[in-house]
Amino acid sequence: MEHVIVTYPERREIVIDGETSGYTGNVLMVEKGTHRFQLSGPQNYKPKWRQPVVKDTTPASPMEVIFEKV
Amino acid sequence: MRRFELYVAVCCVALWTGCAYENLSLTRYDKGTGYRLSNLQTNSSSSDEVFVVLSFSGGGTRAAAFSYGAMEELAATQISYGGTKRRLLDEVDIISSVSGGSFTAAYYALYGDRLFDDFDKEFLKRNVQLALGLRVLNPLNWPRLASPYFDRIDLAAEYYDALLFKRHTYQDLVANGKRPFVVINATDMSMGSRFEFTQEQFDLLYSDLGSYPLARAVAASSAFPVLLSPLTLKNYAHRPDFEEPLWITMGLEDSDENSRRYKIATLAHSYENATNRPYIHLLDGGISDNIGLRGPARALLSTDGQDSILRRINLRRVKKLAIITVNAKPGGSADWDRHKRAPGVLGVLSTVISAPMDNYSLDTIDSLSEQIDQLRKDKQTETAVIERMKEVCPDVKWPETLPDVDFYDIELSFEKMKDPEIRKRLKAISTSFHVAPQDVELLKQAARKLLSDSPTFRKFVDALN
Repeated sequence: MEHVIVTYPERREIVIDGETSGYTGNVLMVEKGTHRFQLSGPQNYKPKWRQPVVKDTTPASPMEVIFEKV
Repeated sequence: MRRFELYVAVCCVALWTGCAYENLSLTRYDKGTGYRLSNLQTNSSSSDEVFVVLSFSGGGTRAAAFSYGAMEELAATQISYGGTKRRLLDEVDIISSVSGGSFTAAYYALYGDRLFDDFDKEFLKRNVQLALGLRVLNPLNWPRLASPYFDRIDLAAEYYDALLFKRHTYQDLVANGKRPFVVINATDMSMGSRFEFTQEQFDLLYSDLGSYPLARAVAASSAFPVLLSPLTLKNYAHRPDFEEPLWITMGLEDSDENSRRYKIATLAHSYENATNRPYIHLLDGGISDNIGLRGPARALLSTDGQDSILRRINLRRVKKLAIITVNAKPGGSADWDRHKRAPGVLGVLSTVISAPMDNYSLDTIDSLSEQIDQLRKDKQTETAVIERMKEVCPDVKWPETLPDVDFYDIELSFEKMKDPEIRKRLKAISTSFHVAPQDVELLKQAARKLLSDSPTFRKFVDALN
């Protein structure tokens, strides 16, 4: 199991691989591998998506996926 | 002469009608409609906070009766989580089943509590084995069986339909709109992999599960190799409106990083090529997963797919998760080693078919237990670290970041029966669609006792009261 935290200035719902999967600011668990992260709701963020390979994480050191407000 | 002519005429008609039911194409692709977990509501008084998954193993009527007993105990168990009194059975969200267990699961999905009124008489205590045999031996069915498009599995499906499912289709389950979401599992013969009767899986065939008869799904799930023929589905060419689920696209990138995910994505992707795979042949679900647990295990450990439990955990919807495995594996070995003479063909065939199934099942249970332990430990570590930090910096508010879920994994199996005499009797019940009525009662009572005596189950019930 891998751990990810998605950050954005506001609390938003997160879409992982096309399905609503959690909220910004929470540690989320995903299977090791390639995942596409997006925010749900208004498209007032960039980039449009991030697609990292999530691996080598722990609950204490999750991969950070950062979105900025536009 | 006239009789002969009449017989020939009947045979011609039978041959003409000797075509099995064919699954229909989708009229349009819509990933929000059809038989999916998200389209079934929890019962009015229950919630996603308590998430209960049942897995029913294969094993003919033995498995059907054992899983029925577990359902009875869940119906008899009262909880009052959130202040409303209700049965624990009403909290069941998903039932994943294979082979014999699929009869109980599908009957409950279709008829609800009627299961407890007539399933015992209609199925568990009926000699289904004999009825199937007589249908095959009936000369009136021979012309149809001679057709290349109609086989023993189609006869079995017809019988199950007449006996139990009465032309009901998956659309009736969608219209019912209530959980549990029953996932009937078969095995894709070409790939040796699990095949689920869900709209999400049928999307990949560009086919409509809604119009598909429940009886045929159950027949595919219990199409024991050699005795019953495989069941065939048509794989339709995908229209332009089809969009490959993103988890498949992502998983196809993972050949180096996660070979398991890559394999599952590759398999799912293979259905999208209807030119290469215009037909999918299905066998007994027990070949790829004899306890029905692989689907729930994947749903717990991956965000892939619409039915992912991990996604619900990430959304902080699930607070208490119970996975109850009802495993009717006989467990006893034959007495071959007592004799010098080597086992015959049937013995060898039985071992070749069942030994890999059993070993695979054990691996699934062990792997799931380890993963659940790891999830528990991760949360315990986080809580301990935050407690320690609070001591060092009492004024700082430390956020709890990992989801807080209590996990309960419970396995019912004959091995766990403490009474050696009963254990021996349970293990001796053969895999067949005919079990003696007293053995049916024994199986039902055993499941009830195993569940009610399970310390983890008691802990779970206590947490809900």
